[in-house]
Amino acid sequence: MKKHTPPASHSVPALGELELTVLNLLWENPGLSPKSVHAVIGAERGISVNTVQSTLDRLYKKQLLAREKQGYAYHYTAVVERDSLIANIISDVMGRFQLDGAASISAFVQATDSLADEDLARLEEEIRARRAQSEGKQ
Amino acid sequence: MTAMVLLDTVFPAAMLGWLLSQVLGAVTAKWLTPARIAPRIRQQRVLIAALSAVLLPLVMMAAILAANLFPSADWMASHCGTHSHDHIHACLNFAKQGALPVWQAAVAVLALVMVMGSLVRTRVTERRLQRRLQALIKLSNGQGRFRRLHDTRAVALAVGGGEPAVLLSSGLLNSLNPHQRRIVLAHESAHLRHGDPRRNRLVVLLLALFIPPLAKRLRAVWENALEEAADDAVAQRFNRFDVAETLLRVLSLQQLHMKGAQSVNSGDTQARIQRLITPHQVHPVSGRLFEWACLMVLPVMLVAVLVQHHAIETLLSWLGA
Repeated sequence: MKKHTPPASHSVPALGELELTVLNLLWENPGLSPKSVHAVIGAERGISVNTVQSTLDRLYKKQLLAREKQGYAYHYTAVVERDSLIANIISDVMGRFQLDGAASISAFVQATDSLADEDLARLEEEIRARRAQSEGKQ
Repeated sequence: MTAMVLLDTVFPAAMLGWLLSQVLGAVTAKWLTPARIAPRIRQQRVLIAALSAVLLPLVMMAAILAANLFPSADWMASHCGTHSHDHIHACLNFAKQGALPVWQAAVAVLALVMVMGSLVRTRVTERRLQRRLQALIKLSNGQGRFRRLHDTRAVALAVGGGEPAVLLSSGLLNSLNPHQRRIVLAHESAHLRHGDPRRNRLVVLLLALFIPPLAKRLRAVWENALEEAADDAVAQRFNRFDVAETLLRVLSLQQLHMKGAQSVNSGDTQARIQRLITPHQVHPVSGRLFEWACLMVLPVMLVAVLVQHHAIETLLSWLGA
């Protein structure tokens, strides 16, 4: 099955905790039926097969899963790669949300910060000079 | 009659309180949060200014309606007797007579819709952001507070909410030496230790009550103060030049992956680096003075509105005319 990589500008749909658990499972074990998914993650959470089935259905509608009918049941496989999903969520968080004045993010360096190459070089030189000056005083 | 009192007096009083909060916000952004003041004090001041957008309208409404608490008092009865029917009167028993003015009702509804719209929009955006951050935690590798994300870009995030964590991308970790990694971790841990993600969400929500340019300005002051406080915490443990170098390194790594992307901001990280490498003295201003002054404003306003009840009604009447 062909894996698809959403473009960087693609906005990732919001994913709930159960949806991510299902995706994690399908990345490890592709081609599982709802009953098989339920056997692994449903029993310990106390959720029904129907809940697992509707979660799989939601992920399919979000175009993150592909399904194939085998007998009476669909078998699901992830069509989005884990790394590409992470990359898209990061792009969303650091791009769309950080540009939006309403969102609160604590990043080491804001994604919206940028400096010209000559300014970076000048700052680097300034740090070196200040360090030397400070060490010279001690 | 109650609707008339609400429109005639309570709504203008709330508007007056809101306008005062905007003035306080503008003064805070322009004069009360200079870079020479310690970041923690700057944060407190922005937080107080942000809270004023809720507290000042509430105090003004409470004060203007407080007259109703003493309906049997003599001064109240004689006060009510001096009013003409056309004069605004914040009294549930002696409201101005006549039809409900449509334009006044429309303005009140419009203001309410705008405020609620701004709050809902901010809340929804925050909720979406938090869901994505929690998704990143779920997709990350590692246990506990420090998580690794498989991504080539240089990303370091402190995430609060349900499961507090520091998220570091493999692109960042692979490009830094162990000392620089410790600096980034210490910086993000300082955010978690001070509860910054939680306070960030509160301030962002409160700033939705400010006019957008002012909210943007206060948010910039707030964010700079948060980052500088975390920088200071790290600089106490590590050499400040090492911290500055790490900031510069992460900024240049980030730019490698952002070539061609549109930049909206060019000063914050540069200012943080300059602050770290330039010997500076934190202004020995008393951090409590402003806070006490703001706390005193609330009861003083309450008393002033009560004492100057008639004058304020006259002013509101004049403004509404």
